[in-house]
Order: sequence, then structure tokens, then C-alpha cells
Amino acid sequence: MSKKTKEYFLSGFIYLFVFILMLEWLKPVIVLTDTDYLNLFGWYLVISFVFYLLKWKWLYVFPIKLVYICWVIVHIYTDYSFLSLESFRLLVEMFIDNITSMLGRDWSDVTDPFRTFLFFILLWMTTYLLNYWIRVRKNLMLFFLFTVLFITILDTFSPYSGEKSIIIVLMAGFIILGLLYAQKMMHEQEGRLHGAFLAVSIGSLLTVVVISSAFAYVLPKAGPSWPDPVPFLLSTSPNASNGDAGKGVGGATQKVGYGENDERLGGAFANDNTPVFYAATPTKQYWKIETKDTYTSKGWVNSAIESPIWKSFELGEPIESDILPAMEGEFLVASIYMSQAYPFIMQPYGIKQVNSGVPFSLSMDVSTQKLYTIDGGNETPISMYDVTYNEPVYSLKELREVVPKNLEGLSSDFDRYLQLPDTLPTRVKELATSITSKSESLYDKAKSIERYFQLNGFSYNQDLAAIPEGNTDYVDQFLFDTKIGYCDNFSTSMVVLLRSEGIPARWVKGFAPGEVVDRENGLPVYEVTNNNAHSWVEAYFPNVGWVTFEPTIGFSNAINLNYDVDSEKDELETPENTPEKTPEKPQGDKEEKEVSKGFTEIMSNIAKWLSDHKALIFWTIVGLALLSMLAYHYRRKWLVKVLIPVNRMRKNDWDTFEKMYLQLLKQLDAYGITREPGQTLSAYAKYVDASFGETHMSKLTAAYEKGLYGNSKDGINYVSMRESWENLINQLSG
Amino acid sequence: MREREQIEAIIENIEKVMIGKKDIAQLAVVALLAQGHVLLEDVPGVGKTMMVRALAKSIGADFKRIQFTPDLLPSDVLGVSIYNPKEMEFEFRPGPILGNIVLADEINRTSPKTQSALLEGMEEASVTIDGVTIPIPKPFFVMATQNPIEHEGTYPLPEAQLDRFLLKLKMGYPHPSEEIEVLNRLEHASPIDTLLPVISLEELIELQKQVKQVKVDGTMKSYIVDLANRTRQDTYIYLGVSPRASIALMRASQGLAMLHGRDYVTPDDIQYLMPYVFGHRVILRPEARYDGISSEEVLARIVKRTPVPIKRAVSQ
Repeated sequence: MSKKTKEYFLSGFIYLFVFILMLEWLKPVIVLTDTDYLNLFGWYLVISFVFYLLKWKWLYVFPIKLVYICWVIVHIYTDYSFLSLESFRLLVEMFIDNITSMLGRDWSDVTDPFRTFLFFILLWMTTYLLNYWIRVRKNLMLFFLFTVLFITILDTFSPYSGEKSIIIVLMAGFIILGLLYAQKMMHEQEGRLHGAFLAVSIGSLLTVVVISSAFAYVLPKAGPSWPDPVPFLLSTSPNASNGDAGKGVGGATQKVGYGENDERLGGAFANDNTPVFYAATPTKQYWKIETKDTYTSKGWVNSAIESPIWKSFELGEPIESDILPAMEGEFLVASIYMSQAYPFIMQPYGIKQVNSGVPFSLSMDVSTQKLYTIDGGNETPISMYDVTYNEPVYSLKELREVVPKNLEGLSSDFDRYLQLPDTLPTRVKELATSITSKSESLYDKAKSIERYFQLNGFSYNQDLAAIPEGNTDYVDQFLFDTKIGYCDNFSTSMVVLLRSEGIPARWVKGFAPGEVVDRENGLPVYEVTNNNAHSWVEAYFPNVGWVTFEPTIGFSNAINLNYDVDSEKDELETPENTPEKTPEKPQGDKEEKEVSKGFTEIMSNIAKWLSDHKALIFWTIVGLALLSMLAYHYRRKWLVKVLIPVNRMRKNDWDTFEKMYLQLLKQLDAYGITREPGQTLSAYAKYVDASFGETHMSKLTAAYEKGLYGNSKDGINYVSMRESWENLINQLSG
Repeated sequence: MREREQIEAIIENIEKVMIGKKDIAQLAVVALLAQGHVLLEDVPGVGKTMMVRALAKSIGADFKRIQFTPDLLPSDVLGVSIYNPKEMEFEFRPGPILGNIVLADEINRTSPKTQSALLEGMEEASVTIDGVTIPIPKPFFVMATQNPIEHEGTYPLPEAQLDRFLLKLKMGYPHPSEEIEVLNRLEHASPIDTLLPVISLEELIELQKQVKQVKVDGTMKSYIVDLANRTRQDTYIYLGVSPRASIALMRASQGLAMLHGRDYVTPDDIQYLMPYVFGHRVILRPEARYDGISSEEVLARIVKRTPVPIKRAVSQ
């Protein structure tokens, strides 16, 4: 293949794929602007690119393009024959009229045929620019990026669907980038690239792009990680939210943070990282504000609102919370600096007392455990205070000793923690029973429920949480339909499941620990923002008390457990879950088989085989990886050794000697004796011999130089050379 | 290898007089074999004259010396026609340039006019006086010396004329132990007086012919051209070497190969000679001077970076 043919070949390919990209620009324009005749514009692009490929002079190209444009205009807008006088007159009139009105800035007077003409001019300029990028800059990255952006933006914000388009664009784009690189390479090599090399590299480029794209297309894809922004943008604009007002509290996206009203849970949340408070504290912990006891099937309210019981405490006085601090171990102090004016205390678990530089008193609503700060008889926000606490420690042995029977003697005070709405679907209760049936103790039952969410396809998402409409129960919807939501979904569901099993439970509101942003007096300072607003669960076990649980995926708040039980029994925790999981799997497989057809069937068979032989595949891969690592590590030893027998099979002549010598150079380089590019072979040979203490390399080099530079290949004792060569090779591998 | 023995003999002969300057002696012989001329640049008294005289004596050649002074005229170099009243005609009195081995001492002390008279003679291997062209007898070998440019009252040679010299060498001071040896040898007599020729002029001319038969492989030619090209592209070099320099490097390499008893040129020959052949042919940019970089360093860097051909050129 001559240099010129190669160039045409490469450029032809590049123009072809650039044409495909351009077409993807044209398509949405045609679809979205009521334009038609994609093929006519497409042909125009073809003409343009072919001329650019052939590098015709503009003197010839210009009239041809102009004639084509005029023909298109006549063809689209009139029934005249192109070569007729009428069409000519029409064109002349069009130009004169429109240019006049354009000069007079009467934009509305510009006629459609002329707009078409202007569109062609735009295409003309674009193709010119593209040609410049290809020929001169040899870089189309920018255009490729803009095409992707253009398609994605149109796909998101307009009715145009870019699903197929984006795949074509990506494929064409990658191919163009590869081809342009090949072209660059060819220029650098001044056309010396072998035709076969070119064909192979282009072929492999095409194969790789096509295969990887096909795979990417066939493989299952995760859903969008954020919802369609258009409805979101519409909902935040003031006009739109007016329209949503009738839908109720959760209609539009709410802002995350602490709020008192939890009557209607659900709906998406917008992030808000406004700091609420800073806490300098030695331990990372949850900050409890209050609990709620009554589940309404849509959210939470307090049952005791009508007759609240209040307990008052002074600063430094022990606070009678219903979760008491641990007796053993030392008390810790957390310093709280409020950024937002909340008239209540952020309580760590095991709170003992509150201190502050400013005088105020505390008042606790016993039913909710909310600890208000009171000054002068009114709820007053306090900006700085210290909390002394010691997190409670639970004995696992004691926890395990609480069985359902212990619940019988529970006082009626706990009835409100067992409340459930009458409308709660029975399947929720059935689920609770099935989750907990394997467990003996109440604690293990609660743990089973807490763990249930981790294993059964639930996912955490702030944006996709549903709002129950009509008679739908908030918990039922989450447990059985959506399985997607945030802390409120998980915690409320756990409370409801616990209550269904007769375990008293309540819903806790507060803040997660936040992020360490600073250090103060050796203590980490946590910044707690509105994003950290959180809800979790407390369950009551007779003889033990209230214990916290954290069902939300991605959060953890392990209680202090004293593992004072036999290890055997402890291990039982894990197998509990296995029976729950197994029955579901064959079901899923069955469904898949029914649906699968053709390609999908093969793919699923492969997937099934892969999943069935996981261990085998894993160990094979590990083994192969280890083997290849070893082989790579010791490559010098075995690779070099291979060279000796391979070369022994060859004839004793110059060609073999030359090959052997060059191999030796390579191996010496790999061994670490590198030759500078400007170092002559004889200088290098001296260096090599100095490292091995012999003269084999100088001997070989003298013969090689004589043959190479002196072209006198007679008189070389190839047998002796081979001995020296093998000697050196053996030293390299030794 | 008869050639090698002959050349070795010349060098050994020179070494009887010159102590510790074998490399310079070798290079001078290389230039002689390659029919080039040498420019020796050094301070007075390091033995420049002694070496040329030893070389001349070794080959039994006619040795002429021109001491350049500011008032020397071209005719003092080339020769002059003088009217002989007896014969009633002009008679040509040949100048010192018409010898086999000419020492042009302190060439930068004379006027450019006289300098160019010498350099033209060197280039053409003939002189033209009063319209008559007289060929200079072969072998013809000029060794010019010049004091380093810093000295006052000199006319530095123009770059174009420097190109006429195949090699530019520097003697340098001898090592103290060598200097003691020099004193020892000169204590009672001058060894130069007892030096005898080791080869005849005819044998030398034959050797000069043989040099051209030394093989220069295609890879070596492209290596020379590569080196030359890189001097033209180097950032520190204002003016790179001319193709004449490439030819000079090839010819000198042939001479060196023969000196080493080889009938082919190796990259080592080229690398060794490159600074002596190219050194006076490149003009550095002022930046190089600011950075304190000499032409030797620039050339050494080029040698280091230019890949040595170690394979047969692959035919495309």
C-alpha cells in the first residue's frame, strides 16, 4: 500500500465516523424543530466530507455545494423543476428579499427557504471547522465531548430520547480518537508504517470498541443514582410548588433536618449541610432529642400530649432519664456548641447531668424524654453547655434471658409502646412472626428484625422514598412495595415489627454523630449538620430496660455489650439468617428462566454456571494470578534459560549470531546492566565484562562489530561465540 | 598488518621526543593520514613545535616553519618572483608553504590577508603566483598553532577558515612526572637531533591512499549525519556543522580505524574524533556562555544522546 493510499484509507475512516457524529447532532434538531428531510441534510454532509477527503480546491467545491443547496430549497419548497426559469427566479427573489429584510433587521420577515439556506451555511461552517480539527489540529476530543454533552442535555431536558444516540456517539467518538492517533503516528513515522500494521491496529481498535460497547449495552445497568432533574427543578420553582400545595405536606421535596412534625413521613429530601451544633466529645455517639410513641400509619405523634408529666432538674443535678448511665467506668464530658437555636439538650446515651457557664434549668417531658432548657419560665435556647455521660453497658447474658414470657407481667404504662393502628395490614404482623420465629429471646428477635433490612433487598435512598397515598400504610408500603427509603422508613418499620411481636418499642429522633472537623483540648470536635438528622429505635426488655437498635442501612450504633455468654451460643446468631434467605433464591431463578429467551438465556446460563462454581473460579483465578506473579517475578531465570535450547536448534551462521547477540543485549538490559543510547557496543562490552570479570562480551562484541560495521562475516568462529554467549546467558540467569 | 606497524613506528618515534602526549601524536598522525591539517591551540612552550618537527623527521619530510608576525606579507608565505639581472628574467623563489610539513606558528598573530594566503594554499594544495599555479608537493601537511584568543594583539581566524582544519587539538601542560622526564631527556642533548625517519614519503602517500579504502558502513554514515544534524538543532548551538564537517569526520575516522589496524570504521572511532572535528566548527549561542557551557560539553552531550546504530538498517 502506498503512503497516499494509506492516508486516504485512514482519513476516509475518520471522516466516516465524524459524519456519524454529525448525524447525531442533526437528528435531534430535525426531531425537535419540526424540520424534516434528514436525508437531504445528511447527503449534504456526505458531499462536504467527501470533498474534504479528496482535498478539492474550494473553487470547485463552492459552486457544487451552492447548486446542491439551491436544488434542495427548490425541491423542498416548490414543485418546479430545478432547471426551470421559475425556480431560478424564485431563488433570486428569495435572496434579494431576505437579504434586504435582514439588513433592515426584520427578522420575522425571513422566509423558511432562506432559513433552510442559513442552516446549510451553518452546516458548512461546522464541517469546515471539523475538517480543520481533523487535518490541522488532529484532535477531535472537544467536539466529541460536546457531542456527548449535547445529547445528554437534550435527552434530559427535552422530549428527544438519546438512548441509542449516546451509544452510537460514544462508539464513533472512541473510534475517531483511536484513528486520529493512528494518523498522528503515521505522520511521525513519515508514512513508513506498514499497511498490515495499520490494518491490524485499526481492526483491533474497531473490534475492541464494538465488543466493549456491545457488552456495555447487554449488561444490566443500575438505575439512575439521582432522579430525573426536570421534575425536581419544576418542583422547586415557586410557580410549581403552588400547584402542588393540595397534595399535602410531602408533595414537594423537603429539606432534611430536625423538625417537630412527623405526622406525615416520606418523600424526597434535599441535602442541607447547615451546621446544627458542634460537639467536643471523646466518643462518637448518637444525639437523642426525643422519642415518639404513636404510629398513625402515616407518621408519628405523641399520645400523652394532653397531660404531659414534667420533671425539673437544676444544672449539675442527676437527670432521671429512663436510660441510666453505666455504673462502672468513668464519666465523660461532651461540650456542645449550638449553631442553631434549639431550646432542648442533645442527649448522649447514659446522660448524667448538664453543666453550663450560664444559669438555666432543665425540664423533661417524661413521655417523650425531651429535655428542654428553661430560663425565666420559658423555653430558651442555650448556646453552650457540657453534658456528663457514661454510655450504658448491657449484659448479653441478661438480654438473652428475657423471653416472651417475661412480657406478661408488663405494666399498663407500656401499652402506648405497643400501640399499632387498626388499619395495619396483617401481612406486616405475619412478616414479623416469620422474621423472629427462629429466635428464642426477645433480644435475638429484635436483632433478627434489625438485621432483616440488611439482607432482603432494601436500599437506602433519600430521593426515592415514597409518600403513602390514600389508605396505604407507610410501613407496609416500605416493607413490601418500595423497599427503598431513609432512616424514618427503617426505624418506623422496625418499631412496628417489634410491636407486632409484642415487644414494647418507641421511635427515637435526634442526630447521627456527624464528622470530625477539628480538635479541641485533645478531643475531636464533631460537626453535626441538618444532614445528620436521624431516627432510630429503642426497645424495652423487662428486667433490662430500654435498648437502642439501628435498622437503617449504612448506619451503625452498636450498644455496649458485655459478651458474658458462651461462645457457642453466640455463634448461633449467624445461621439464624440462612434459612430466611434460601427459600427465596430458587423462586427468583425460576422467574428468570421463564423470562429468558435466546441471548438472555445463554447469558443467564453463563451467570448461573459462574455463580455455581464461584469457589472453583475464585481459586482458579487466585492460582493463575499467583502463578503468573511467580512467573513474572522469576522471568529472568526461566525466560533466559529458554533462549539457550531455542538457539541451539539454529544454524551456526551470521544471522543466528546477530539474533543471539541482540537477544543478549536485551537480557543484559533486563538484568540491570543498561546501555545508554549513545554508548558504543565496545564501550558497553567493557562495562559488562567488568561486572562479570570475564571477556566474553568483548569477544562477542568485537565479532559482531566486525560483521556489522566491517561487513566481514568470514572467519568468525561461531562455535566459540556460542560458548561465550551461553556462558553469559547462564550468568544472567544464575 | 603492515600499515599498522608503519603507523605505530611513526607514533613511537614521536614519543621519543614528546612525553605523555600519545593521544595528540595519534591525532596528528590521523590528520596526516586523512590528508587534513591540524590547528593546535595552546600557550607557548608546551611542545607544539617539537611535535611537528618530530613528525616531519619521522617521515623524512621537508620541514618548513613560518613564524607569523603582524607585518608578514602573503609573499613571505607563498614565495616571490625576483628579477635575475644575469638571466634577464624573473626567477621564482618558493615560499615556506611549498614544503611537505609546514608549521605555521602563531597563525593568529598575522593579518587576515596573510592568514588567508596560507589557508587558500592549504585548501587548494597549490599556490598561484604571478598567474602561475604551482602545485604543492605531496604529502602536504600544515600544522598551525595559535595562542588562545584571550591574548592581546591577535587576529582570530574567521569561522569559515577554521573549517579548513581537519582537527583542532589542545596540547595541555604535561603531568609533573612527565615534565621531570622531559627535563631528564634534555639534560645533556636534544633527542630530536638523533631522530631518524621510519617510513619514506612514498610509503606515506601509499598509506594515505589506503585510508580511503577503509570501509564506512551505511550505519556509520547515518550515524555521522545524525551527529551533524543534531549540532544543527541543538539549543546551545547558533551555527551547526557543515556537510564538509561530516566528510571530515568520516575521513578522520577512516584514518583512526587504520591506526587501530582495522579496515572498517566503528562508532568508537567516530565518537572519539567528533569533538576534535566538530569542536571548532560550531558557534555557540551567547546563552551557552552565560550558562558556562563549552562547545566540548555541548558536543559530549550530543554524543551521549545520539543513539549508536547497533543493528543493520532495516530495509523498508
